[in-house]
Amino acid sequence: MSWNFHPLEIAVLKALFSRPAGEREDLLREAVRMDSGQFQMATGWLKAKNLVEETVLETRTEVSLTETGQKYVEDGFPEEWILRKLKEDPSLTLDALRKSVEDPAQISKAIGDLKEMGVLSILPGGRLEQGGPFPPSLERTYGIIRTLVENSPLTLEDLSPEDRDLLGSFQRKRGKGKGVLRFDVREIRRLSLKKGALSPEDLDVRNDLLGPVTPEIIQSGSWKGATFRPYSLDTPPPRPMLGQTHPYRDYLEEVRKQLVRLGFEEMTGPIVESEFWNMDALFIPQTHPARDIHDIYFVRDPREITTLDENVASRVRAVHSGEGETFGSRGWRQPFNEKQARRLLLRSQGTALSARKLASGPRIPGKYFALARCFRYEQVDQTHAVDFYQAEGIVVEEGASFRTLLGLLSLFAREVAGAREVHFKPAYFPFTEPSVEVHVKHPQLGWMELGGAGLFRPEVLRPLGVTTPVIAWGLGIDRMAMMRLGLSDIRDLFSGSLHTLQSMILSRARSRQAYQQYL
Amino acid sequence: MPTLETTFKDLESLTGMTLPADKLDSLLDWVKGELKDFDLKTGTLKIELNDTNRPDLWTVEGIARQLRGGRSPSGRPWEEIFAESKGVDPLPSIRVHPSVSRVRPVIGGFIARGPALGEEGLTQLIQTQERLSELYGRKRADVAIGIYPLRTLRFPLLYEAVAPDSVTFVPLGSNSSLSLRNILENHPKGRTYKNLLSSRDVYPVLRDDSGTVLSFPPIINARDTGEVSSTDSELFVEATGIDSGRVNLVINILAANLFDRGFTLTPVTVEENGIRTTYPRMEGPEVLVPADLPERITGEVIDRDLFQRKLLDYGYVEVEIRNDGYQVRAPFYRDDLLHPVDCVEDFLIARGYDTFTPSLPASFTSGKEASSREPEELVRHLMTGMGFQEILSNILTSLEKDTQDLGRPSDKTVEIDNPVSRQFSVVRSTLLSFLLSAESQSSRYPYPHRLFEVGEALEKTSGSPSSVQEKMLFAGLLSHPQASFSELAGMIFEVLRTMGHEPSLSPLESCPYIAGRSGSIQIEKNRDPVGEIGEVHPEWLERWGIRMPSVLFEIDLSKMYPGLYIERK
Repeated sequence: MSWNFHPLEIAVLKALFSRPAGEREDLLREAVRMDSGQFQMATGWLKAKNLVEETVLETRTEVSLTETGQKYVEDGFPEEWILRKLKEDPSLTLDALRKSVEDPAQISKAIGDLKEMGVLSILPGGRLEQGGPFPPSLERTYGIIRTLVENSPLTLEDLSPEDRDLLGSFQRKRGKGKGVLRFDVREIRRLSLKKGALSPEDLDVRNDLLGPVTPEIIQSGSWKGATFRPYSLDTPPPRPMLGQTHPYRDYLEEVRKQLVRLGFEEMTGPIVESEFWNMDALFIPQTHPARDIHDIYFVRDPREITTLDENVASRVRAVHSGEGETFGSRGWRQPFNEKQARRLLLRSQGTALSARKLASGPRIPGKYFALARCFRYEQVDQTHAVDFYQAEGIVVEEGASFRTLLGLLSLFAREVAGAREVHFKPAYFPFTEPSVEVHVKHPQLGWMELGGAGLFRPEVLRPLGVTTPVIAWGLGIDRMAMMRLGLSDIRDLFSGSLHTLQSMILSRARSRQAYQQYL
Repeated sequence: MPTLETTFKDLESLTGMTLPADKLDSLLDWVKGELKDFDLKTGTLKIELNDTNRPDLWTVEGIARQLRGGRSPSGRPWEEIFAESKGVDPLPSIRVHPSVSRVRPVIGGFIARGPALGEEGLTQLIQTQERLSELYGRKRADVAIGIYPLRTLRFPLLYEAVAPDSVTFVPLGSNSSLSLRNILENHPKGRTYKNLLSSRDVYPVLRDDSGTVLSFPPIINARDTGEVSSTDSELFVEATGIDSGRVNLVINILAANLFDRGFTLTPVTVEENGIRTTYPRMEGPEVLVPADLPERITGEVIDRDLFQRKLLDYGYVEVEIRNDGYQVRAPFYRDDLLHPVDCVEDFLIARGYDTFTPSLPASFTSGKEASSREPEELVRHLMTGMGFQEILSNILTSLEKDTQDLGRPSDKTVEIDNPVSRQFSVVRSTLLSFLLSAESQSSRYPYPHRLFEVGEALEKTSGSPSSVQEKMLFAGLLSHPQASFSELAGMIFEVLRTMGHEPSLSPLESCPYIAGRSGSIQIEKNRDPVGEIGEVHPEWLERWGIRMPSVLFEIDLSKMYPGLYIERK
């Protein structure tokens, strides 16, 4: 068998031939005088070729503090902190506690643990009560962790078996995410030549073989009559850095192009919006739960826009209060608070853009859409992100009706979601009547909600000066994007981790393949 | 949105139909409900009700009634609702003292007699009470409900407002007699709803003719008069609030639900300043639906008899066909018809959405992307060409990340008044923190790292009043063992040149950069800079947990193309 060795491999092999019993990895690297990258490469190749074997001599686990751990040692661990808080304020509730910290998830976990250990109980109304002493095992664990400030890293194997167990189970329970401790397992290994796999003669490389093609070789003509050293095709080529657009934005781009193709014109608008455009102009009553302090984000400063367009505002006021020109409506029969209308918030729905478009005199017939960043007042978890994209739009056309609304939604189901089966469900939105939810059958995942739509109510259209019927629609594109990108956690859409990005890009490639087969 | 928990058995027995378990979800289309959970073992259902304007449907009785086309699950015609009180004169009454007019002016109620509630009936009654007062009554501010066993109550009742310390009674959940003030301060319910009364100098109280306290609306019932059990068969129900329309609707829904469960009712008269009102008021709202409206909305020819029949099937009490349209009357437990279009939607639901043939919009319109997106698209294109990977971040972040962690002041950051958590409590004013955070999460990914992001950010401009400026930022990071200012500057200059500018740098001293290794980017001499670039100081790298030399830049596209972003401001 003839071998093709890279010069780095040859250096390692030569050193090993002179050490029949093998050599500790770190000593071998010193002997061949390579940096750790080169050495890893060379030994990696040799192991892949099955010429070199390694024996683990000893495992050492180095324990050090993570950034979170450092913080805990300084400020106290969440469990300690919770109990201290509770001592200071015995009427403390779970809710208040969660609100006072940056990461409520961590608090929830600590509370869960304390409950499990019987230290803490939650009374009705969310009040907390200490029911038992702080467990000595946890105290001991935290004691060991605190020694790390002075004495880091600590070698796990040097600890007593009891302490080793304590740290080990502590780490397992914590999980990887926001760990307190970093465990670096270092193996001390010996590398040796596989018996009989190779003889020293195999290393007798011809010295006249040419390495890389260089400008000098070409210009001097020294390549004439010479042979180039063949490369090993088993060596994996280096991976370049990704340089691509973000897969979620690419998905948005596809949707945008699709909508433009269908004759829609794009609308843009502010993310800081007044309640007037986000709510009042859409006939959402001022007392509606969706306008509650627990449902939208308000801006602290500035709190309000200074002026409202008095013409539009007075007509909107009339349909809300049910007094004056109401265009055949009873209205909400509630006083209309102008100060509330001026309050600034973070846009909660793309429909605000449609309202602005209608008020600014849209072309008739006209079709408009927006891919709007909207904000949701919710605890962040794997299906809820604080901000998300919404596809929204309107069709302004004489004769637009419930049937055209269904036609449009069927078109979206086919063109945007690639679905063939559609079901229309009655729905409720304060600004449309009739209202419909469209559900589509996804080839793999079954029935899912694609979006909501309806005909704008006269109470929305007439005050904005529109007498033509208007179809309003919205599609939940974040869900479709998650499916496309193989994500089960919506937070990953906004992750900065290059590993996560890479895996999104790969899933998209796979889903494209699957989709092509489906076609 | 209201979510209802009930059992399949209860729903089935109330509808009087055999419900196909697998078709339940589509059956719920009729009530705009969505089956969230169906536990086959226990038979428990969770239904989300989407119509925030029809509280009658937030109850299992209401759902069953709607599924039966408005007929009562009790199988009796609605005329029998007051069967037991025929000829009762005078009706039991509540006297309203003028003192409540400033606190909580409206009260209504009725008496219900029937078979014992039973466990499921009681559970549902309590759920209904909670849901109506929390959601429809907006956490009891608009409407609160009290339910009592009739047993020892002596009519007439007296509803009045009194000084906080003048009345004491034993509230539910307590064993001692407390003053109204004490309840508000110390009782759990008192603390929860304190804000509804704390600014008042008198508090409402409801007592019977012998002076026994029934309740302290809208806070809590008395323990001895206000605890209902599953064996109770005679109840007194009242609701208090601000607006008589809302109070009446809640009373009507509770009346309908109890009738559905086999009760019959005695109305109660409310006497105030010599004016007598009797609850429940049974007239449903009337609407005239213009003759052409159903056709305009549906987009097809609608048979007038069909329209009439379908509305009657959906529970409407009367639908009269007239020359100018349809005169319709909704049932007494509904108050959601604001405009004739609402009746047309009921017709569509009754006929079934899937019975309409979709047709496409008829007009041709030409599609177009917003021109303000052009610069954004161009830089994204150019940056990927330079080998930069795009990232996408949340627009909300924490004040620390947006300011302190970059060594920058916080006066330009737009804060949220009511954040859910500190982690997402401000709107970003820069993308730099996201790039640093991305880099710190990616240290195990092979180098070099080249990252960029384009997106919206906000800036608060000082002044009185202050204002918010929306920006379109474009920022990037370069990170690898030899990463340097000049490497990144070279790349960015090339991008700007491709966009038609001749960029230059001027000195800039700013965190988180190394002094003397950062600059402002200008695209025209004597004009304000459009951005900045600099090598990140190791002190700040350390703060972000980054161990690799890194260089950052940020450019405000809205400064480069002020005309395009005008509507963002």
